Parts: sequence; structure tokens; C-alpha cells
Amino acid sequence: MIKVWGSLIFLAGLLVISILVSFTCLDPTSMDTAFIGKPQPPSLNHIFGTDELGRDIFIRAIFGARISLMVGFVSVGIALVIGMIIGVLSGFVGGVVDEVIMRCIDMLMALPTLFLILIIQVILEPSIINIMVVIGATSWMGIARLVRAEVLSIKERIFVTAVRARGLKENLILFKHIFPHTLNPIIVAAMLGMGGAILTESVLSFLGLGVQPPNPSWGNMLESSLGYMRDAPWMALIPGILITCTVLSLNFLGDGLWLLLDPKAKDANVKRT
Amino acid sequence: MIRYISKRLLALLPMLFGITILAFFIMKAAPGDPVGMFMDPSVSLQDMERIRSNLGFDKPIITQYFIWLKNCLAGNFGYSLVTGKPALEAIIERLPATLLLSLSSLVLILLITFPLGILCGYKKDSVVDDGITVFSFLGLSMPSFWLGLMLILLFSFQLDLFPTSGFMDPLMYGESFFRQAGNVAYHMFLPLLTIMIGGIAGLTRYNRFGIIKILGQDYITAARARGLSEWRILFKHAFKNILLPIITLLGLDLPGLISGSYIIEYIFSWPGMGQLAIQSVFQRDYPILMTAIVLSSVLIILGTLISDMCYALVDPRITKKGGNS
Repeated sequence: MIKVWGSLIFLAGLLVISILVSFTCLDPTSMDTAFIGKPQPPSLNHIFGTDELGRDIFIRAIFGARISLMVGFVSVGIALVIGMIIGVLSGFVGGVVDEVIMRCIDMLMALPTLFLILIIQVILEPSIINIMVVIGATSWMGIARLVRAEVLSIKERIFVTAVRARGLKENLILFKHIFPHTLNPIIVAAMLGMGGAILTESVLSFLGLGVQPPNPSWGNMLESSLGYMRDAPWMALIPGILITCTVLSLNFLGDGLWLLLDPKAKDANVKRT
Repeated sequence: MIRYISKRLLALLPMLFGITILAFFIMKAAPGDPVGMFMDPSVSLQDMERIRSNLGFDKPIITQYFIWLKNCLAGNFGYSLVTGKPALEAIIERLPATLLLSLSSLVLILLITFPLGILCGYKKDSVVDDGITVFSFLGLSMPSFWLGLMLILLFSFQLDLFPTSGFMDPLMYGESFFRQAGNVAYHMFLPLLTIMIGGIAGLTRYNRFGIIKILGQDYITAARARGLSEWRILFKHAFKNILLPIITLLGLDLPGLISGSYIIEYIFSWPGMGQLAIQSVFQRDYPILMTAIVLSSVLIILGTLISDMCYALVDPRITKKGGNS
């Protein structure tokens, strides 16, 4: 349980700080001109040090958190909507529709996703909205499969036959009786997906195809650290540690929720941690 | 078995067709004029038009697609817009380095993840298990490129043990094969380690679940009741069933492994397909990009197919049912 609570506290703290920071007059692009080209190590004035343009890394990291969390939420939201619609359609309608959809998903899953996203980002102008849409649009396949599998197994259950015998309309059966049962695995998948989206955003920004400077994001902070690895390792350490902690928290949370929500997980007999 | 395999192979054809369509239209959607980009501004408009029609850019897009597909089937994927080399050749000459890196990481990952997973599953909830689980979560949560950077920071900058990038020292040309191989291995250490940490982290977790599930089944309890030794139970009774989920997972993980090693190759300047692909993204070298995306999809599909076949080989139920979708 320590892991889950720790993760919750970390994520909540990150969320609160990154929201609150919008109401302050802190500016992630303000430079300390004395230190341009001379990154300063962490000190009392700049607790995470400064970067190559004399900007405070702590402030940039908080603004970066805002972007990362936003990308995580929105792109997973997009993936969830697409994945749920397609998964429900595929599982509930079945037949040829199901077959065609599953083949298409197989095909999309055979594409090297990250590479695909890179190409799309080059074609579109890299902007924060594009990143979220592209990540969402390329990561719904797993969710669709999950929803389909759940719908398939639930629609064979006796209680569905029972409501059908009561003469309920098919779409009502779907939305009132089948769909709610798919939500548990979806919540878990959403947590893990959010971690994945944050990782993807960091790669994109690191390659210069994501959030554009001077706007800070953890990925482009890492990019700018490249030339200073030897002299200013904190520039590379801090954003990376933040990404890792955030994604780790999401993974712990997803795992904890899975154990909590899925009776099968307890059958696999895993200790509640 | 043969029927199963041929059925699977047949199902691949529409998939490949779909991938080529997707790759082609994504490239065509790209703004920017691949002709104008590399021309001297003094070239006249008529000449530009002539070059365009020479390259077939003036035909309707469907026609362009089929011309491209026909050429692809004949092994002609077009020419790099940057170097002028045939795209297929440019990529194939990068293939050995990629295969060397990805296959050796795959083998090492399997060799390490198996004992780790078994250890975890066996000593469930012990300190060892908890330690390995936390490690695997950590490995999954780290951006792989950042892990690479950190390894460079530690091993190259701080300890000065391994080179930051490259494939082989230029001084090694003309040396004996073994010295060259040794030098390549020396350069490969860091990228290999980076890929391995991510891969081991992912697989060990699943491996652990598989083993816990299998060890809880009745036939294992029965074997225990018969007084068989734990080793015998593990390697004679449980082993094949442990293989199953791993094989599937390997098939599922393959796209990730290939996509992931792109960026690792780029970070470590490893002269493989991935490095070329990412460079081509920046140079907007469409023929190379199209070829890379089609070829890596083919690699992934082949990998999935092989893993499916291994699965069918280990589990006779699959072929009897005629294959599940």
C-alpha cells in the first residue's frame, strides 16, 4: 500500500503545484543574464540550478510538469474515446464488422508506433495540440482490444440473457448492463496509458518534434542538456528523474487499482502492496 | 500445422497491403516540395516542372501509389532524396548493425529474464521478489533515451570505461576479425545495456505472473504430493507452460523493441536502420522513410508470425482449434 499512497501523494502534489503555478507571476523563460552559457549547480537561489541560458530549472520543471500531465490526460482521453467506441462496436456487433476491425487493429499494431508519430509530427507543425491528438490517435488499439474482449465475455453471461428475456432493447442492454463492466480494466489501462503518453511526449520533445522552446517541457529540457552533460549533469538528471517518478507513480497506481478491482488478479495471488 | 501456417501467411497479405497504403499516403500528405527543396532558386519553372514529371509527381495520386507499389515489388523503393542512393540499398546496408544489436539484446534479455522471473515467482513476496519487482517497475517507467544518457554520463564521462557512440574505431580497419569483433562489442556495451534494462523490466513482470499462476495449479500440487523434487517440478512439469505467455509476449513486445531501439541507435550513433530512419525524419527524405516503415513493419509481422508458430509448436491446442483470432 505504501507504493500506491506514495504515488497518489506525488501525483496529487505535482498536479496541485502545476495548477497553482499558473496563478503566480513566475516566468519559465526569464533569464539570469549573468549565467548565460554558464549553467549554475543547485544552490539556495536556484534549488535545481540553472540551465544554459541562466533560467531557473525548478520553475521550468514545474511548467514542464503542467505540460506533461496535460498531454497525459488529453491523449489518454482521446485514446479512450476511440478505443471504447471501436471495442464496443467490434465486440457487441461481432461477425464481419468484428473481423475487419480486428484485422485493421493487427495492422496498426504492426507499425512501429513511435516512428509513425515522429513522421506525423514532422508533417504537421509540432504543437502541443498536435502532440496530444497524434499520441491519442496512435495508442487506442490496446484499449479497443481490451474492451472488445470484455464485451465478448460479458455478453455471454447469464445476466445478459436474463435482461434480454425481460425484453430490454439491445442498445440499452449494451449501455446499462454490459458497458459498466468494462470500466474497471479500462481505468487500469488508462493509468498505464497515461504513463506511456508522457514518455512519448518526452521523446518527441527531446528530438525537437514536440513542445517547442522557449516553452519548457521535460523532454526539451533534456534536449538542451545534451551539450552540457559533462559540465552540468544536473540539467540532464532533474527532468529525467521527474519523468521517471511521474510515470512510476502512474504505473504503481495502475497496478494497485488492478489488484483492487480485478478479482482475477487476486487469484494470481499477488500481495497487496 | 502446415494448414495453420499457410492460413496465417495468407492473412498477412491484406495486412501488408494496408501498411503500404498507409505509408504511402502519410508521405504524400507531407507539405513541402521535395523537388523545390533541393533546387537552386535560379532553376527555371519549366525545368522544375520537367523534373517533377520525370519523378512522376504530376500523375494522380492513386496512379502514383500503384507505380510505387509495382516498383517496390520489383525491389525498387525509390532513391534517397539526400544521397541519391537506392532507398532499399541504403537501408539494407544498415540492417546488419540493427540485427546485431537487437538480436543480441533479445537473446540476453531472455537468458536473464527467465531465471529472474522464476526466482520471483518461486520466492513470491520475499525481499528478492520485492526488489526485482521495484526494479522492473523502475525500468518500465524510465524514458529509454534518458537511461542511455545516464549510462553515458556514468560509464563514459565519470568512469571513462566505454565509448559514448559509434560502431568501431576507425583504427581497427585492417585488424584481425577477432580484434574488430571485440571492438564492436566494446562499442555495443552501452546501447545493449540500455535496451536490455528496458526489456528485462517488461518481461520479468509478466514472467512472474505466469509462474505464480502456473505454480498454483492442481497438477503442480499433485506433483508435489507425489514427493517430486522442486527442480523436477519446475523444469519438467511447469517449464513448457511458462514458455507460453513469454512467447506471446515476445510477439507483442516486438514493435516496442524495434521502435525503442530506433531512438537508442540515434542516441549512441549506432549505424543501424533506426539511426538512418530518424535522420531521414529530419531531412524529410520520404523514399527512405517509406522504405523504413514498410521494412520494419515486415520485420515486426515476421517476428509475430514466428512467435505464433512457436506457440503452436508448444501448445497443440492452437492448431487443433484451427487458430484463434
